[in-house]
Amino acid sequence: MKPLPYLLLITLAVPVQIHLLSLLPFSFPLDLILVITFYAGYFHGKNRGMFTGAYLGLLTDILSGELLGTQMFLKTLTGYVAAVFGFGIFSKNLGIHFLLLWIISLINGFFNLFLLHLFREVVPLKEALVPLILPAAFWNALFGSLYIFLSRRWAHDRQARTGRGNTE
Amino acid sequence: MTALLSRYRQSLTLLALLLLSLVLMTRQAGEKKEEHPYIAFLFEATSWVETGLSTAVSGAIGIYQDYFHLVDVKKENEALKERVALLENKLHLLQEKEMENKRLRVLLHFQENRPFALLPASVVGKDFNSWSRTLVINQGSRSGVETGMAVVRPEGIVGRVLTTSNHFALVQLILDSNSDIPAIIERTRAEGIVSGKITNHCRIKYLNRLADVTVGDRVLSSGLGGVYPKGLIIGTVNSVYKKNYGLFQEVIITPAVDFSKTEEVFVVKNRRLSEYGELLKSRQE
Repeated sequence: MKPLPYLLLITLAVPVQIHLLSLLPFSFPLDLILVITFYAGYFHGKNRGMFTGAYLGLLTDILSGELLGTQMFLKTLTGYVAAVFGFGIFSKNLGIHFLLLWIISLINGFFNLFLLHLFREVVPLKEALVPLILPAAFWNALFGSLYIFLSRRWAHDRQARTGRGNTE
Repeated sequence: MTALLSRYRQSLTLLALLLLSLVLMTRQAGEKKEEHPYIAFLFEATSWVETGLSTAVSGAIGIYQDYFHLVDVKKENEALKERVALLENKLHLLQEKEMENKRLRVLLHFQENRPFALLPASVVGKDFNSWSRTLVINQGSRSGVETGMAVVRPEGIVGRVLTTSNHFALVQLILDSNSDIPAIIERTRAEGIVSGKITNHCRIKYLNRLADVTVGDRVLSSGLGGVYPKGLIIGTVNSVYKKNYGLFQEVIITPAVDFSKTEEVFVVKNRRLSEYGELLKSRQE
């Protein structure tokens, strides 16, 4: 995908993440930005991962009123780590994606806690681990791995159709 | 040198991006956010997208729920059930109107009995899922809303305006860990600073460990700092921890406002208060 449409498409994820998920009648601690950044890093390499993460993270910081730079830092790191995972253990297996997303979400959560500790507020680990970090890691892993599975399958089908069309 | 740079290009990019974000964080830590024109522009743009998306999602949820209500209905009961559904819908609408009427009466009473000008606003977006706690309201700079203005409800303080665009404003709730409100204990007049905790409670910082505070005490805004008018309720004391050492005690409070059910709020448009805030700020500088 060309850079501008890609940028516009991923930008749409920010209002969805910040405001729309809060409209759901149940608590759904999904980090959509993390999933998109993971996808970009894991399948498209370090540059795409880092810049997608930095851009979406900065937008999230600006629009959610968080300390400017927090999400930018975390998501840049996420994009890079995802690319490292993609380089080292690239797999199309749903379970592997689930596990990697879970690990990355946990890293993201702990770093978030650390940055909060560093710049704002000391939050005991037990207060953040059970109500925030673990549920977010689970939902990110579940939603993210399904999203990757479906989008890869869709891309594969589309490629197959295009190939058939060219042959005919 | 060029070969070395190109070899470690990605690592250097990562380092540069991380350093940039750390610089941003360090610059903002400990000071209040300034409003920049590009933030207002981005905020305005995404707020419109968000309003559209919210309407679409609410509609979709409504259609989805209606479908599940009616999908198992047998043919002979369809007409009857539709009629019942229609009547129920009307009744529900009437009940909704009645509740809205009650709410608005309370708000009107609150608005009439305050010495400062209040601008009513509706909540169009909430962000409670992530680590920050913010609301989006449908009044912006065109209605005279400015950064730093207090946002209240009849039950108590909601927060302060963080960013504005033409038609919307981002409100930082008192639950946010970046929020600081000068406060007093109503019964004993002991002073402290109320700030948010990620556990949907607030805490009082810098409260003298000898101060008399008990569970159930009401905590009010002290009026210092020029953002929040004096005497507004922040919450009630939930628990008090006194360590064997240290100058302060830790007090956890439950906010007076139930933020999950907040639909309407008021922006405090008090020019004298904002002038006072600016005066304090210029003095600090």
